[in-house]
Amino acid sequence: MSVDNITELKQAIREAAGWYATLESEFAQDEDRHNFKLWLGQSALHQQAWQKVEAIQGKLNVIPARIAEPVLQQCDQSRRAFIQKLAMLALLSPAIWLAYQTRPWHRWTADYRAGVGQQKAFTLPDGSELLLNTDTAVNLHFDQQRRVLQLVRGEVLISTTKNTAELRPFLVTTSQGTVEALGTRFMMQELPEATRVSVLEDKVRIQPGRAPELKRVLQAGEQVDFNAHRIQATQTLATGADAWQHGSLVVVDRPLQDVLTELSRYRHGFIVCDERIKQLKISGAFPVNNIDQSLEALTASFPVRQNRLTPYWIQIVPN
Amino acid sequence: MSSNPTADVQTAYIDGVEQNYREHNGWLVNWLRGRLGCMSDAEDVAQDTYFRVIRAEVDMQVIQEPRSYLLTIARGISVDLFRRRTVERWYLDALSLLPEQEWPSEEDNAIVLETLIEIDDMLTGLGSKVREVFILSRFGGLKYAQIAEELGISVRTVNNHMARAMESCCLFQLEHDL
Repeated sequence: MSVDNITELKQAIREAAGWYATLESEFAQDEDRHNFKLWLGQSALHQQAWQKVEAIQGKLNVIPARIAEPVLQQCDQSRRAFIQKLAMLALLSPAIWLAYQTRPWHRWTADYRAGVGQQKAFTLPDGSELLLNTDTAVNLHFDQQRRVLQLVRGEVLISTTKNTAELRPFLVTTSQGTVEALGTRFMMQELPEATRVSVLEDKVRIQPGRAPELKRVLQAGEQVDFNAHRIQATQTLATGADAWQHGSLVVVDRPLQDVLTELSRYRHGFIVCDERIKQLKISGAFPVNNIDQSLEALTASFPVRQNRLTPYWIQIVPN
Repeated sequence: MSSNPTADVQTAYIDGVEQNYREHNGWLVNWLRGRLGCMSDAEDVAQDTYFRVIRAEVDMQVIQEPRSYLLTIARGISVDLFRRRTVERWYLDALSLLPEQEWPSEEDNAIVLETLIEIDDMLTGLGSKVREVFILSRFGGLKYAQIAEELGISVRTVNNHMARAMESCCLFQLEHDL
């Protein structure tokens, strides 16, 4: 199936799911049922999408409700209890720690999400501002004791609310540990094996998940990577680290390899760097909402060229 | 350049994976044994990890940090393993509370459990409210107005959550079918 067809099918699935929800409601009217039939009759694609919904229904019907409800609720509760434990910074056994991870295809079901190449801004229930960078997913777990964001994937910029009446601690959890915001503006990014924290204003406190006793406070102008066991040496915030919020990747003397890795985040597929030019030093500002233009800027200013093997596999090689 | 670049690429690819396996599999199994606490689990997960790599046709040679990469995949698989076990535990728990005549038959048991595991997977990662709405409606038999009241949200939000949950399930299925 071609990429275009899949995109169209996904859109049709979105509509089909909307119809499902409408028709399941006790408030569904005859008019709704009529409009649904019209929608269904509009195209084979719509019928295909509806078949998916019916297939899911079929699957759900396999389980007696008396079993399904308690089992699914309890599994969810175990998971949620676990996340709360995380927020309380308890020491965790390896098995539970592993269970905390989520899978890539779940990013589109998170409470807040941005697709590849998208950026989205949200205001949280407490008034804090959340900005999602490309390919990012965040879950919200606010309750009476604490405000917890779970960074599932990607990169966020957070400005916590300045409302002095808000007393609940603000925590961001990742697979590596927890960061507590101490009234601030900061960024966090989930990397494959670490979490990166960069503070723009005020401070945050970092606690590795498996070694919370190693906590460290990070101040404005500082950044650090940490994993579940340790926090690396604090570094100065890289120049232009937050330029992405304005649609720009700003780099100063950065190896080409890194620049390409960064650019590829905003695009589906891989941008691979030839061994021989990995360390080429790049400085400049590159638009992240137009990666093609950025790549052209690179090939124009540096002795490199593009080799497009497929739309999803670009090699950058020496000229 | 040979006359059949595709075959060359494929051979090079397989060689690359084999080499990677020789270099890293032992380490991976060991690491997993430490985390999972069990040798056979560690071996199963390590094997599945390589299956994933091959099925996704990932070129291990362009991966900067192969161990890091393998770990990321292995983690996902381990999570799945524990998730399956959790579902199974709660399933047996739920059965134990029902009179025996209401239990699924022997033949159906495996299917019911597998389907439950699949549904739990589909619903994992949904925002907690979304999942709850869906379960209450679909299995709890509650009407939208009742769910709205129970969770302190509007009926419109219930409707939106239902749509999102169903969409998520369909996309999950689609991903698996492709």
